[in-house]
Amino acid sequence: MSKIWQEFSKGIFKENPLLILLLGMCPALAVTTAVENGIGMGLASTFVLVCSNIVVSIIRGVIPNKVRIPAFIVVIASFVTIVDLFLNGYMYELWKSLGLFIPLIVVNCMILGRAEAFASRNSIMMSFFDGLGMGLGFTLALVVLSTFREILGNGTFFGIKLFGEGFEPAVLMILPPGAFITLGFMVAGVNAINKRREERSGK
Amino acid sequence: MKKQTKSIVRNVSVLTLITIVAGFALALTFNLTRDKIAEAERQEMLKSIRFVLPKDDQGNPIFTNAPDRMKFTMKMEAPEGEVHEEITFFPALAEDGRLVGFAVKAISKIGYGGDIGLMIGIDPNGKIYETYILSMLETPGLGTKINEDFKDQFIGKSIGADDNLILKKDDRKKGDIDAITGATISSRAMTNTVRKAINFYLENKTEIIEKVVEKDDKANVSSDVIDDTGNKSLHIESKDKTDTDAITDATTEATRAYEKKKSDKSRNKKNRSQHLRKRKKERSGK
Repeated sequence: MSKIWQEFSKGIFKENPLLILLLGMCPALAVTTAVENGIGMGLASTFVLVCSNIVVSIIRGVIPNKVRIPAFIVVIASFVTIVDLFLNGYMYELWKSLGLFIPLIVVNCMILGRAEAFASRNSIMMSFFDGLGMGLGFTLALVVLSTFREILGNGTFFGIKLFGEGFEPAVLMILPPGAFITLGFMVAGVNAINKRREERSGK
Repeated sequence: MKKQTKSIVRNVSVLTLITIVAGFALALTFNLTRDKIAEAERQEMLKSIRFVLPKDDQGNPIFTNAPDRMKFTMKMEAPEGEVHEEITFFPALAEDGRLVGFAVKAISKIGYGGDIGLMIGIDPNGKIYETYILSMLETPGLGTKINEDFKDQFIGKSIGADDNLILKKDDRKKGDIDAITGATISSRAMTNTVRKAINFYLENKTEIIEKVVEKDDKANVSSDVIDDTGNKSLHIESKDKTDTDAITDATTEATRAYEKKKSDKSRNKKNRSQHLRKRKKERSGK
């Protein structure tokens, strides 16, 4: 049980895919202009990650080593297309705002990375919790990142205006540089916390 | 050598098997969601059509037909070297067959991030009721602002006397649309496409209206009549009902609702610009 918890929780903080492993940067930087998009992207990625981890773990015994990468990509691409179709049919508004970035989940290195580094070597149960933890960690990081960017760059949170007419949003925060700057601060912050933790446990 | 062949066969067969299974899964999902997606897209289309056409006081659309069932597409002649663009008309008819206007779908090919799909609501004279962005890939927070206050600038405009539908940035004298700071390309894409669409409508009005009558013989719209103010307007009468008073009433009501909306919007704009001016003063005072 404690092992499951360990695999699940590592993705959220200690090995956060976005802030520690620096995986999945492309969608993270592109869609985090609004919190709603951040959550949508995070959950869609989590779904794909959990499903692909399970399937990769199931078929890990039969895949020859030489063709494992194409096999993983086929699995991931299929789940992404399924998500794309379902969002298109059932959550049209979200689908419209995420647009191009749903198909791009395929090339999110976080998902291929977890398939290669974890799911192809571990049991189905462990892969499931690894995927869930990593996915939620990714979602959490996206939410924090997009909260900063939406508030500073657009003056809104979840589309609700926070400031009066006098507030001039810093457009830079919505643009790509804003994503890099915010992410830089977040990575620095997480690193500082982790370092302090290590020192404390070392003493 | 034999061992190598064996491993190639195994690699290929496993991969093929995986893709076949994946293919079946996708086909299944596609079948499951196809109707739902078509319905969602039709609802979105209808939503945009309802949005850009005039409403009565309760906010219900004035038209009673299904504009997407009567739509027709035409080709806009493009200057040499450019692609011909398509323009789709969704005619909106009131219950008595009176032509309320059109929802016009046009796609801008000169957006910053990709194509911008626009729905433009016009009255039979080519005056804009409202606009709606169907799809765009503009920069979030910058180009996407064409979907905010920017597009209100088009309301009530057409091409003619004082209106040109040109960015002020592109033509200092004739320009009448303010571009969004930091998103000139997106602003230009939308403005130029709206202008092209309106231009096309005004130039081909007779042909377009003939097509509406072809599709629905209840719609009775005779060709242009010059009224005494010199403006081109449409003489509209109904085949079914001879009660012209009722039609006139409906028309004036629609116009009134529309004018009210317009003045509300312009009042908002005035308030805002006053506010901005005040702020500027305060800042320079400091």
